[in-house]
Amino acid sequence: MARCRPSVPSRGGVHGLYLMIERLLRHRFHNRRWTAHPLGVGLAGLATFAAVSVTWVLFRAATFTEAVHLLTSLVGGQTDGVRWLENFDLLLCSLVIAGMLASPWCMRNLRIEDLVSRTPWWLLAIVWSVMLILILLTRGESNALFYFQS
Amino acid sequence: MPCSTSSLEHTGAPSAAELRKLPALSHCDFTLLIVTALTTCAVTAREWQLARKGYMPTLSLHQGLWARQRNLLSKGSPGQTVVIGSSRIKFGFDLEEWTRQSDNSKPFMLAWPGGCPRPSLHDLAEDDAFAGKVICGYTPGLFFCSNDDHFALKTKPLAEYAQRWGPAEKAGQMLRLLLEPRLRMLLQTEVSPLEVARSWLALGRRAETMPTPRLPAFAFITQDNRTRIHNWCLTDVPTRKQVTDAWQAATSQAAFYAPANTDAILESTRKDIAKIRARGGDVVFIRFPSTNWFRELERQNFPRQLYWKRLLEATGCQGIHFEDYPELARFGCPEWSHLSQDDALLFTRGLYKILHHP
Repeated sequence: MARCRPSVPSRGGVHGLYLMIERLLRHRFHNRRWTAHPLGVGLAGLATFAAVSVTWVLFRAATFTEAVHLLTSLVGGQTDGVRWLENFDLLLCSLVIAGMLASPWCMRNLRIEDLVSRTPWWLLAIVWSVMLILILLTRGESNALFYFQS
Repeated sequence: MPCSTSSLEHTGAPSAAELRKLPALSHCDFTLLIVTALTTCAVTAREWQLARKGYMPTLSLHQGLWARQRNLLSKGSPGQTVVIGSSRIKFGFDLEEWTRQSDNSKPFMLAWPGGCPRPSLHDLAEDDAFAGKVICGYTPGLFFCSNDDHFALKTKPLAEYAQRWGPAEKAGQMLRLLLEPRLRMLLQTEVSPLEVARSWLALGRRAETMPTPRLPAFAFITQDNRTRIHNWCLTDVPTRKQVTDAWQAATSQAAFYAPANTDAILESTRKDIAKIRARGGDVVFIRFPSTNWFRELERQNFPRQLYWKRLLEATGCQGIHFEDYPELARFGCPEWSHLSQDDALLFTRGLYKILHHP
């Protein structure tokens, strides 16, 4: 396996591939009743989340070799690996993932602008304040613009 | 359900379903006022609380700190003096004192705490424009670390980061230089809310988890990438205990990795130094003091004959070991591994005299 960083085109390629698959599935199952059922929606959401999470490994890993190691580790293929995460980290990850799954589920029939419009202004002010304070107090690296990474 | 779509899909005017209006907000002024007031109050209260507890603001150990120095070096003359190594030389090499002694321009500090200096040495060797003197701090366990040791080899991405040093990275570092020395709440130690939550919950570690060194705010970092121990730490026994606990956690990480290939390390180091010398530069190794448990561990795991002596023989470089010079051997380390600010100054003065007036 070549020891090089997964390039931006390869990441873009995966993104494009996922969009193609999404369009194909949408076309194929457009009028099926189960796609509107909460269970179907939930399973589709989980499948999408799993697919995106696996792809993040490619976006995050420094090399293809590292990406392969991480992916095999995710499916239990690395029995001699080093344990990095403490119990607190596991709890934190679980909470974040739960939030990431819960928020689109709660918002599936809502648009953010509608939610904001119907929320009392004083509650919005408090929520925004809490978010801003947490951002200021909890420092971290921002890698939001991953497309600019080489 | 309407959904957001990629901008690439728009071929003409957006359809009614794609139009997303800005939410109608009532009391915009009040909302903004409350957000500003609450945020200001929270930030001020946190700053006041941390100041009362004695915390001092300092720069963070961000890659930008290293990359800035590296790029300043690139802009300077080829014959500059560069300091590389791990934390011991970062704490123990007083740049100002060296400059006073040498009556020359200030050396560039490219040492990195807990880091192996080999990647930095390689970076300088590969830089055709560099033909200066390298003062390389030697911490045995870090210099001879395994190639799998992520903790020690965190120095590897530093050079890559410095190479892609663009306006965004530069602006980010300028902001850090501006804000971090002024705001305690930006400290990346035990005051971070996540670390507070971690210690408050005390969930413990799973069996055989990689030990994580958690350092208290016992030192501060300056713009030129030097680190100095706070003077209050010299007499603060609990803080010193926290620091020595962190050293024990950090050194125990090596057991999780495959043993280092000493011969391969010596060979690659020799090649890098040969490249620097071919351009007229030179490299000198400095072994800074360690004491107590740390010194014993290093004696046991990295005997001088097998590591320090072989390094000097393989590279043909000059090496200054603190134990060989009474004027360097008289210093103690408050937390077994680093010199205090005052001792760093005296050590650097002594070191300069040994190197230039043997």
